[in-house]
Amino acid sequence: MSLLTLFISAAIVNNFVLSQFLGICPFVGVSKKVDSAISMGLAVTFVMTITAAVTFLINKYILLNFGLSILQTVSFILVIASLVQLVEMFIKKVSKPLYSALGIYLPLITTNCAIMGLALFAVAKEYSFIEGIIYALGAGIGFTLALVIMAGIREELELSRVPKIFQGAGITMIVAGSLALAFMGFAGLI
Amino acid sequence: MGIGFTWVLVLLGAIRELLGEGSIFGLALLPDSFNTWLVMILPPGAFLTLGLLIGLSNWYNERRAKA
Repeated sequence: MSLLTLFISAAIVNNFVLSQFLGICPFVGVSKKVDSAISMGLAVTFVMTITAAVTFLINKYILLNFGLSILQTVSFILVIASLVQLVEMFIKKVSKPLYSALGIYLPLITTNCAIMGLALFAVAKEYSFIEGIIYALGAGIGFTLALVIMAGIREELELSRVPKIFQGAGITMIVAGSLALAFMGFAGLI
Repeated sequence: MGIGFTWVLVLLGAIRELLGEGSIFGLALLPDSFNTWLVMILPPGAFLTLGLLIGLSNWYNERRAKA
């Protein structure tokens, strides 16, 4: 599989949010404004890409070398948690408003199943170092894409008359369903 | 919260299986003439069903608050 195919497959055809249900919580939580959606997407993309690189090295040179693959989950979580801590400190320093806009969803990237899923998928599919990074980049861009599309739609929804019982999470899930349906159209692409 | 999560999961699974496969716990319930809804067992079905369930629960809570 060429790198371009791998990238498109991770970003669009097998979109993490819309066809694999990974990372739903920021998808619903941070998709109220396009600005914060873009920042969240970039934060996740950054964490994903570095995670893919670091976990590949850890897995290949430490865990597999010493027959410790049973420790995969624990060590991957440690890598993700420290990266998220780094991103959190960076965002807090650079932009206070962004920090409060992302709120609880920023530290929650630590246990975001999209990132842990990515690390485990990359190991299970036996990707090389470069393939792993391209896969992570694709998954991150795909996540950002889904988040930004959703935020754009939700900004419009604010102006439309949604039935009261569906306001908030309800209509978000239904819109996500329609988006997932649209993304299924890409299934034959690769 | 754990129990709440479990029963929502079971309800969601039951609705999707009934409409998508015409069965519950692998037991065929609907007649063969029923055209199963393929979309229910695919990812969009989960989002749509969950959205409708959230609406339903809001509707119920609102009604109960009024009464």
